[in-house]
Amino acid sequence: MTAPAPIDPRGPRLNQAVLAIGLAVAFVFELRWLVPAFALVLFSGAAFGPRYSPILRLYAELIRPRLGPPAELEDPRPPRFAAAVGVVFLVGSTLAFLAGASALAWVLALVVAALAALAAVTGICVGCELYVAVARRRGVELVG
Amino acid sequence: MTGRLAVLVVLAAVVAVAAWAYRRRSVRDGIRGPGGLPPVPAELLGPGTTWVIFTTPLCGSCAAVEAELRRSRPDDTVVKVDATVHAALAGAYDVRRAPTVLRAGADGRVTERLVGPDAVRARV
Repeated sequence: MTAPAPIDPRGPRLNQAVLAIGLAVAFVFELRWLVPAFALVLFSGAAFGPRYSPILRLYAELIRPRLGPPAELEDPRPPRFAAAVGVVFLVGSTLAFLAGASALAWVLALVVAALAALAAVTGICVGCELYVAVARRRGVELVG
Repeated sequence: MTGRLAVLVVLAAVVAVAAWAYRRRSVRDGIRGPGGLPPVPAELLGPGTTWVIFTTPLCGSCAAVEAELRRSRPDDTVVKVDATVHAALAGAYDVRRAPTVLRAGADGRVTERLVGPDAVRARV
């Protein structure tokens, strides 16, 4: 399998920041519809690639041209995997809302918000680390 | 809403503590450096200083890093290790991207760990 082209890591960082802030706002103001909305946003990027993620597209077309080149590039697969994990949690949260389990729904959404905030602020991406650990065991080559 | 803001504040504090603990461990590992990493296997070592370059087949900058090391450190031993072939060895040094370069003494003790071409260029 051909290795994908490395990406500018600042795109996923913006994605994570928007996700963390958006879910926090959703929680504070009880905007439940934002949870499936963010699930959809994450799903579009995780399933079809950065070109189909509105936030990554926004970064690539409007923000990146105004910035200097990144200090380093990263393999796109770990953040994509992390986004897929986020989708699972947010879909679980949405289903919990539909089932009337609001507390569980918010816990799942806030787990995503916390991990996204951690990644956005510090670069520590737990989902990415999981992917790297599994990839290393399976002998998958990472690029970057 | 106040209760929810309090939850968010607690969550932010947890995230901050996790980030602090991670950074602290990273700094401690950075300071510990040599002690934190296993010695380089004897079969890779030269008579003096050895530079071990962990590469991958598609690593674009690895060849340049190797050339730079050989040019600037003609008396040292430079060896390349394909991290995809020697995954266990790469794992022992927490290799996550190529090139990752180790500097080891004649006894195999790792004295530096450099990640990325810029770190190597800055060092040599």
